[in-house]
Amino acid sequence: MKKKIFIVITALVLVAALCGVLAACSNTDDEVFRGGVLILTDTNGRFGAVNEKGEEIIPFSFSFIMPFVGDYTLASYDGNFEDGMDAFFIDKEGNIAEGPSVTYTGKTDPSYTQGYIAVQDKYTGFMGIMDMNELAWSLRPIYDSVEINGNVAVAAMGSDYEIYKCDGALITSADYVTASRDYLLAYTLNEEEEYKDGVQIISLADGSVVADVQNVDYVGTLNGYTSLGYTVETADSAGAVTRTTRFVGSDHEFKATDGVGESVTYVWNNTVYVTTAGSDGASSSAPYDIYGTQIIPAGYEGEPQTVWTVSNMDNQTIRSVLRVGWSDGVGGYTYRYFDSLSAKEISLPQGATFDSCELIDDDENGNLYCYTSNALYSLVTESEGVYTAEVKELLLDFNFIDIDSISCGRYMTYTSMQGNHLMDLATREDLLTVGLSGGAEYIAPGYAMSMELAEHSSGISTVFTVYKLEDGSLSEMFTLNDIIGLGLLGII
Amino acid sequence: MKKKILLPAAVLLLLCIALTGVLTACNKGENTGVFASGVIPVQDEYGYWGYADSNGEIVIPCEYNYATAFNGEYAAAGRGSASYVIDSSGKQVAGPFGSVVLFGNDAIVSDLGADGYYIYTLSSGERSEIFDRYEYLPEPEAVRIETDASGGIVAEYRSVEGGAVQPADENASFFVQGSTQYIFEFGSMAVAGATNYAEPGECSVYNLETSTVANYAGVTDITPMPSADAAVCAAVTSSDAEGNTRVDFILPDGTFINGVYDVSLTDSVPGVTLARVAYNDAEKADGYFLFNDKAVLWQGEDISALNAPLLGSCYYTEEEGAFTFYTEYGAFTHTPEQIDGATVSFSSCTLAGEGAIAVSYAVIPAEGDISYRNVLLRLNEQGFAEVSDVSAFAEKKLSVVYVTEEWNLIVRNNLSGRYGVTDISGDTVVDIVYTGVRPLGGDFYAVKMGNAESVYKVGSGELMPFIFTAVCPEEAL
Repeated sequence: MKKKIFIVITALVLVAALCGVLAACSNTDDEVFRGGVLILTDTNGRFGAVNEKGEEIIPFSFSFIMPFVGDYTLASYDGNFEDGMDAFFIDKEGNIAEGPSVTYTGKTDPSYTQGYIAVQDKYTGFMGIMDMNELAWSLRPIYDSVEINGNVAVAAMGSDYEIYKCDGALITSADYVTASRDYLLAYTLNEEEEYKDGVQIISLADGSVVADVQNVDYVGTLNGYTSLGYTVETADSAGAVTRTTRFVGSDHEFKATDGVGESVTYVWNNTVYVTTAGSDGASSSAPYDIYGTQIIPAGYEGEPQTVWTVSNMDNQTIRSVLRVGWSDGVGGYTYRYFDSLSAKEISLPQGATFDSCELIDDDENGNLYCYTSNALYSLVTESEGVYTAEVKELLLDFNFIDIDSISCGRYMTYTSMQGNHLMDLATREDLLTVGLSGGAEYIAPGYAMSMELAEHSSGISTVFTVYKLEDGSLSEMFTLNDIIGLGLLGII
Repeated sequence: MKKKILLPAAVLLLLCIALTGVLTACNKGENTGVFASGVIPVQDEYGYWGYADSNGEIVIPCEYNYATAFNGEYAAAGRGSASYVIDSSGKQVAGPFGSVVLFGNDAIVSDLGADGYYIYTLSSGERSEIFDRYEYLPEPEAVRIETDASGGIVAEYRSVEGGAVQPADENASFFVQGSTQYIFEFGSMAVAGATNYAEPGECSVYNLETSTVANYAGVTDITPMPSADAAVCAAVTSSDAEGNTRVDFILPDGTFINGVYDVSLTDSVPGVTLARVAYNDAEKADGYFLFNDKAVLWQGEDISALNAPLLGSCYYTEEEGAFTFYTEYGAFTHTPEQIDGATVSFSSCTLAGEGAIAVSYAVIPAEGDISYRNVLLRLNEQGFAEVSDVSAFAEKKLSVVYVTEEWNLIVRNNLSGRYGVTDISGDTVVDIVYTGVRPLGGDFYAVKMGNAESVYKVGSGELMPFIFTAVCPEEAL
């Protein structure tokens, strides 16, 4: 799981904290009240925090407070991550604690995991990892950059990479590193010829090395965000070159010897485009999933076209819809569409096109929806890791202006002429409705929030309410005045 | 002039240690080496200098614009236009001055707002007579003191020994007359005099090492070469009563070459100069002189015997498999190990610090790939002796960037770009994680990490946290 912090300071739209693991919708990780603390921004733009009763526990006097991943967190009076700041440590009562002097200069994106934050030493400007319970460096701040992915940290020093667990235990060293959502690939380069000649695949969950492929002639990378692939090239004594591509999580091998067999041409997440060649020179291309299952027949023409994408903060494409064309034999093309995440062919509702149908991605699971002016359809549904791509009509002749989000395959926020709503799609009941000047948003997992906004000559005032969301019902937790946003850890 | 103005550095160091031995360190930390006085100059994040002990605890607050390392009991530190002499408790024991250059117990100072300088003896408070200018000459450790007088300059050289500026010596002083005045040094030589083409003048050439003087009359030209700013040698043209012109070519080690018709500097590498000398006697073949500031390294008539420095910082000659490298530090003769069937050829030579050079040889076998062998050669007290093969460093992706006095190597990891120290066999002495390493003498190194510096002691690691922008700057030592 790749975690990234982003800071939400928005007036009207409360952006959901996204969780990237499939289990997030049912797990108990409380991203909102992380460490029992909800960090908020007031109408003056200052950060403070309340507890689960809505009582102010950290005064609204900070320019920034990072969410608590341990007993302490980072805060600043006069800076933020984007512009740089001199940071210090505070406890859950807002008291400044003693610890090493640290800073952020925007050198790298801030990254964290439970218990640890990658942070810059104030004096040297170099990065290490801070144990947020002990307020001590678990990894010395001697690196040009340190990025925490899951529970694994990549520490760079020049062109040398070292991969650590966040407690400072060395996992391995590498010449080159690629990270995806769940795994990290650590390459060694051939010194003389400068191509990759080894790769270790490291689980971002626990730092274990799940595969170690060394001393090969060639290792290529295939950058599917969810399914990292690597190609190994070996030559036998007779000089026959075999290229084998494997994907993390799959036992299938796409293999070709001297060009005969299956060669992977490109990958979008779980959708693998494979060229199959016979010894007679004939070849054809078709999409497969990473397990070697052919999705649709061969015979498409041209390159697949990307018609829709979702990217994360690192500009990695985490989902896309691809259009592939077959000649209709009379000069035209018949197009079919593929969802790269589920590696499923998707159909659009009857009469809908990509111009009339807006796609919406539930990034807490693998669901994909399409909504039109008055209807909502489910296109891809995920259940326990198994995808189905059946068009299901969810709402028909429904009166909405816009759909903002769908979370956990169930909770939809939308805008109608009457205001902003949170609907439980399972029951089609509105759980929460606020006026058009405010917002209602599902904040995953387990909470919803609303904010009514009033403008005055002297500025703005808000009424901000936090609800607990349990099994399709809301209960109000507390209401606060003059709160304008959240400081949340977003997890992608 | 006193004999032997040049004290070996080691002796001076011993003197300093002896002087500072009486001070007690103020805590449990280090009080050896660079911490002999208990504290070192440190710069805080706002750019101000103070002094900290080996734990990084500030002993003298960072409130100075500059601060020098303690040289014996005293250090110099200044803020604004005022400079002070301070002791290791931070007490200002003398000053404010307009400027201070501290030699130990003696300082050359100027008073605030006043012209002129004088020598100030800290122990007694005694002041010397005022002079107009001075220049400190690190080699030979001496100061040149100048006072303007009618018709010229009175200049004298005074050696600096044991932290004291030695008293005036009648042999050292000289008086310069004439409309064009020269005072300049090169190596152990100093030339002072005047020329006036209409009226030939006088000039004296001093050997500061041996205190011998050559006086010239009828001088029509004094040519510092290559320039007055950076003279490495000189030619003095004079004429006798009969009108015969004479050119003497003077090398920095005191070698005089007479009967010269013309001198040209043909080539150079840092610290080494090649000169071609044509003689008045047309029958006599031109001579070539290759010299550094201490000695003539090679001389001969056949320049083809001397190989030009295609790579690096050395000239070299080769004879029967033995290579002699001529460098700023002196001449090194080394016979690389021969390998059957392979030709060994010189590839490059670089100065590696503290009298050492790094030489690379290409080993060219009859068949197969060329390989390279890297060796370090160092001059010791007896002349060149030490050799170490560091070919294995390249396999560890390490480059040797500097050889310390202790025969340790400051190395750079070519992948991480970070610096550290190894011993001559390649074993790590200082972790190779720093963005810079500077030797502070003995077991101590200044280590830089990004924007901050600390002191590393071999065997103990970083003595203080990285909280200072700089520690023990080179210029403060």
